[in-house]
Amino acid sequence: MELREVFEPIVNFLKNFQRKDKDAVSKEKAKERLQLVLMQDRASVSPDFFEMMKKEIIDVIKKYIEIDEETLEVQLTRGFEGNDGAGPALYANIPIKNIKPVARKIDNVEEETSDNPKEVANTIIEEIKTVSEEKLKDKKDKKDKKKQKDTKENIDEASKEETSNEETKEAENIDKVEENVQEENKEDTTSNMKAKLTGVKEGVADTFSKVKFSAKERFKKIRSKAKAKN
Amino acid sequence: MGEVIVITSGKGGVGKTTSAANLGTALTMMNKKVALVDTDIGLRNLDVVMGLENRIVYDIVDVVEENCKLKQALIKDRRYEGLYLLPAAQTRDKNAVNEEQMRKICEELKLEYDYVIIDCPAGIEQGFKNAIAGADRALVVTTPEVSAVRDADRIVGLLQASDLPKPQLILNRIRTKMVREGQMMDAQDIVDLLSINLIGAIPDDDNVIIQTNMGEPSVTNPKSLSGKAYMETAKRILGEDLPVTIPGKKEGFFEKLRKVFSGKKEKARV
Repeated sequence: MELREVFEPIVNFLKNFQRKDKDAVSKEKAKERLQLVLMQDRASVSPDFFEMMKKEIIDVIKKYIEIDEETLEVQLTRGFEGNDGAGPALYANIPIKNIKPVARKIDNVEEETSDNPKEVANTIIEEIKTVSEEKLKDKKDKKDKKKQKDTKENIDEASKEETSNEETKEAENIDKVEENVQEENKEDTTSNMKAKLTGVKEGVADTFSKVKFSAKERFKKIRSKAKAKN
Repeated sequence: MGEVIVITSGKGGVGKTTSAANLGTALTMMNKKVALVDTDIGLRNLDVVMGLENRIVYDIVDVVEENCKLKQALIKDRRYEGLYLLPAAQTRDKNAVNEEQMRKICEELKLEYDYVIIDCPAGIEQGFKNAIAGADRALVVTTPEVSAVRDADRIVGLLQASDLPKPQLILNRIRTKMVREGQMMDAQDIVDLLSINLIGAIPDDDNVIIQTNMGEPSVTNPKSLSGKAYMETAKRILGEDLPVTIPGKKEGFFEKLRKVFSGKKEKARV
């Protein structure tokens, strides 16, 4: 009996040659099936889990895209056609309402495909809007912080006046720029375009150093395209 | 102040009652005072497994309904010093006791005993909720089968959602030959799947059936492989830092040869 035990590994070793395919080893199959079934069980056992994950996913996407939160669905599946049922997959169906301009700002200028100067101008308006909004917000934040920090009322008030002056100035500037761009949309000739866009460019450069670079690039592009057409 | 340990599994028939009986007895053999509590009302079995079925006078429902004092319902096991059993009622159902009452019983027992071992019923309903209500620690029993592992995972989830965030695993009925052939999941596979710590790995052992036939836990038989594994588990419950011996773990060919010739062969096969 004891010798049999000694030779058992040898016999098993030889047996292994016969059993080449992995399916014959049933424990792998069991593990595989359990992995999936446990994942699905866990997702449905704790109702908080999915809601928490969904909320965080939505928050990230919302930064860039306006989505329809009510019809959104997230689910765990056995896999889909894309991965040939290779394993469990997280499936999300997110209806989009609109892409936010912020997302476009991040786009590389090189990849800009729009040939239409109207569209480019619109994008610029939107950019200006968002940047100015951000700026105003920053100022407000700063003001709030200042309020908390400063103990002397005089200093506080002075700084308030300063900032509010700046704000109004800037707001006026923005309005002017917007007006300019909107006007130029009405008259659609390329020559007018050129002149006015240069004006816009200067205005932009003055107040918003952030957009300056990308705007310049775009105007150059538009100009060269307009020239080519002429 | 003692510790209340609940032994649970989700699926029935994986060895909760056997584990409770063995661990309780093992702990008394290590000079601890232990109370075994059967919470499987309507389907009590810890009494027959322990061989104490003829000595039941009062049960847990009598205690809850104040027909008797807690001390009167506890059966003293005459074979092992310091081992007591609080049996479940057979003619009632799980709703005869609620969580608050269970908590009260546990608090009372903790004052007297070093360990209170609770045998939990199968399922995730009221009986399970009662059993875990007063527990400080949970041991989840499973076997290397898909159904048992799946149910164990649900139980782990429910325990973590309640006040028992770190349950430990007892893997029961490991068939070493099948594990070696790759036809049964091994301890590591199951630990990976459930991601909880292993506290005991018990080999499948005919001795369990033979000893249970006689109303004795297998830890009382020093030759029994499962008994040895339960003894080791009990030591780990006491806090000893002991690596878990995995039954049927691959031994090298030369290792076996050496054992045969040195005459120190342990009966590893089941």
